[in-house]
Amino acid sequence: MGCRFNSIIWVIAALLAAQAMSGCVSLQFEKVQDGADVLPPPVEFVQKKTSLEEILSYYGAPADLVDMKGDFALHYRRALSRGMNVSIGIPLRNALLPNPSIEADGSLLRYDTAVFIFTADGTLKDMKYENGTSRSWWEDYWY
Amino acid sequence: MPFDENTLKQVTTGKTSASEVTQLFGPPNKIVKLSNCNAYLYERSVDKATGLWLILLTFVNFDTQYDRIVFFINNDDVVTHFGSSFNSEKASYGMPF
Repeated sequence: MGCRFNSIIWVIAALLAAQAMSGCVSLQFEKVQDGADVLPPPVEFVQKKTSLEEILSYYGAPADLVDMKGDFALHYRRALSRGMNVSIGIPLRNALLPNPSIEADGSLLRYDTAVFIFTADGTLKDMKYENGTSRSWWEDYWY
Repeated sequence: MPFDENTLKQVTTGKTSASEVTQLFGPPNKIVKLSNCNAYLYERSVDKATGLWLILLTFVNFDTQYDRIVFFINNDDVVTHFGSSFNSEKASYGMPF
């Protein structure tokens, strides 16, 4: 009987400790990915030579298609966001108000993007590629 | 509801009409009017979210992947080009690292 009573005391103590600790410090890590990888354009893709058909065959359907008043653009995009939240507080809610705490959070959203601009007759006029997710997360965050 | 890739085999450039495209795939998500044609854009997405709570530590992961089809339709209402990408099945559960 005494042993069982001790176990209950320990469980309650552990729950109270967990509650107090969770009120003191907490960390949250978050990752949000939107869309599939966007590959760099192969060297065979050349302005004024590569056709709309070749781009559609290699990249598939774009995330967005934009009318540029004569020209039009195919936009391929992958977004990757990473975030972190740190919270430090003293759980005095039940004993004393206000409850002192500090919290910091930050997130960085980066893109892999390929844009192909065509003339109205389907000639590739310009293309641009940016592999934003390969850059250093830490350096970009403090940029 | 995801697209059936096999339905695309019924589309032939230079032959399939805009009305046949809408019969096969339904109304497009977006229509873009271009200077000498129209583009019909179709999109479906799959979202998968994962969360793990370890009292002091929380991990959250969201992954969204898409199936997309685009049809270029000329002034005679005939498909001139189309492209597709089917990635919705690649959406996965996981951790944020």
